[in-house]
Amino acid sequence: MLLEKLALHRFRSYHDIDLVFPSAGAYITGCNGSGKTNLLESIFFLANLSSFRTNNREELRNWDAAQGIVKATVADRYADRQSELAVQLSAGTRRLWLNGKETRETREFTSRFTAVAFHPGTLQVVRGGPAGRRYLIDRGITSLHPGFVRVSQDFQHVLKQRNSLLRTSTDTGFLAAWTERFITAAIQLMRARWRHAELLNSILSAELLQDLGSDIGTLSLDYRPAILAKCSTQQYERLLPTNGTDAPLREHFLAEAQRLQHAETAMGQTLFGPQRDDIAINFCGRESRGYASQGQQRLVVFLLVAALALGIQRQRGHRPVMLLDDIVSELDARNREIIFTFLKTHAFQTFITATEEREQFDDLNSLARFQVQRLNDQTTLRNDMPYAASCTH
Amino acid sequence: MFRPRTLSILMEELCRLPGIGEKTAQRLAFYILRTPQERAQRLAQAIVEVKEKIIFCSRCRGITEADPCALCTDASRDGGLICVVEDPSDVFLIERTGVYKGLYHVLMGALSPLDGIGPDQLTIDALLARVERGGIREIICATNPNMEGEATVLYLARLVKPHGIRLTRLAHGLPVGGHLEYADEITLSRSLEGRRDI
Ligand SMILES: Nc1ncnc2c1ncn2[C@@H]1O[C@H](COP(=O)(O)OP(=O)(O)O)[C@@H](O)[C@H]1O
Ligand SMILES: [Mg+2]
Ligand SMILES: [Zn+2]
Repeated sequence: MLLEKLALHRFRSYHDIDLVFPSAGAYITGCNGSGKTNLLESIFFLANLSSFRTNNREELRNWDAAQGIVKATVADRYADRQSELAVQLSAGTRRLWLNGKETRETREFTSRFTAVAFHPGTLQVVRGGPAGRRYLIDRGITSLHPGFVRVSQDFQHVLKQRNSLLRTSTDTGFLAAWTERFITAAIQLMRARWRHAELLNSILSAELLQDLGSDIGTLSLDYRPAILAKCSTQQYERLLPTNGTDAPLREHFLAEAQRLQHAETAMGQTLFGPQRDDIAINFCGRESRGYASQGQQRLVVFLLVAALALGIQRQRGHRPVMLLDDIVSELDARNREIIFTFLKTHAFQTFITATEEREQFDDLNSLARFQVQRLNDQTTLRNDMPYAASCTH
Repeated sequence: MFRPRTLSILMEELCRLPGIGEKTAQRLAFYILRTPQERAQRLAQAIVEVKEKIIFCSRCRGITEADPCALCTDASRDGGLICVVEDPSDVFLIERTGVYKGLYHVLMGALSPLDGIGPDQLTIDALLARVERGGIREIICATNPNMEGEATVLYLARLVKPHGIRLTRLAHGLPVGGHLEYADEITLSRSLEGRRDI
């Protein structure tokens, strides 16, 4: 997939810009706070209808405007199809246009354009608590299977209902009905996480890490469902719902529900299920939680994003756009080399931001170059290289 | 902006109706204002009468002017079959398909702890009383295809199954996560015919 044209109107610090991009992508430089991340965020938003740095859509519209618009022309080379996408944001509402016609079909809209992002805000995920990792994995699953949004929303909803029930009622039949529905939603969510971890692991070990040079070491995801925390390896194997039946896992869930019933009623909260899962990231034979250095975290998150991009290419049959925000800072020469090798080998359309012009990007000289500037409180972009514009034809 | 008080009151009341925003309310209010006196009178009368005359059927809890309702007293309908729905309006959706010939039971909602709706807020006791009176072969659950509708079915299953009654659910094909009213007649009759056991 290619982002060919992008127009922003009152999106974050942008007033009105109109850009054309070559199929290689763009390299965007500018000072701190000039609006580089805002630009990548608009592209990510167009693809995912969510931001990589906020859950509050209201923040995306320009502070002084009633309405913000992201508009783009995207192309799918495989399907030989060009689409015009537009999102309009105003207080409390989001409206979508596909090829000039307003639509409510979110899935149809998001199927036209896919983007994955590396964002420095994600780095803490490697070292922090499990919530961030669950979020990262679930967002990855959504990029691969847009229908997963429904699975995840259903689960959150049923969890809320069950918690509310635990706080307000002692009717065991009533609870049993919601417990059954909860288990169904929980197993769907867990199955998706399992498959996703398996897919990324197979891409990392069979493809990505080998391509990039054996000295990177190993990287793998270890999905740890909280419900199976105390199981022996044998039990664990038997309970996996990945090979057909989920009956043993359902039984295990029901037994947990039974065991925890008193505690749950006392606390008014669901005490088992995938809302407590962790997905450990093992880097070079060790769990990176708590120990990975800044540079290692960057590399790990980049490799996960790269594996996701390859996973999307493999399973959805199209190539996502890669958004790499501030990726080169704090990386030593070796890690930088790894990233550039990936970009050169796979040639996804890539948008990279950095605070300063750096000569190492000469390697990626088919990228259009833009300089972001802040003037009178609005962001403008200057196309730095005359040849970039000519590349677009 | 100046607006006569009576007009403002009408607009405010219209605004409370589902799916009607301020602009539509204004359009409707001005339409009513232009309409002949007797037609406006008929509209007002219809609203008052519907509230005065419509009651809930003591058997199925559907809406009716006479108790029991015409559906419950229709001898040509199959009394061994009960279709359980959430809302009185769902009865009309299913009747419109013309394929169902049994009786109904309106739950008046679905189990939703977040909204404070438990078994006691629904007409589940009345349904059980009908079951205990005997003669029922099958209960078809036509609750909405969303979490609350499904949890309600699971709850009913526990209560009804011990009576040896067949419990079924509308087949897939209904809009997931939505409401019965979004299903067209063909989809709805197909899902009635292809219902599955719980
Ligand atoms: N909704 C908004 N409206 C106007 N300006 C915004 C909005 N959100 C953020 N900004 C501005 O954007 C700047 C941050 O831009 P950002 O893209 O994060 O910079 P950087 O170039 O460092 O990545 C902030 O300084 C802020 O002033
Ligand atoms: Mg930034
Ligand atoms: Zn009746």
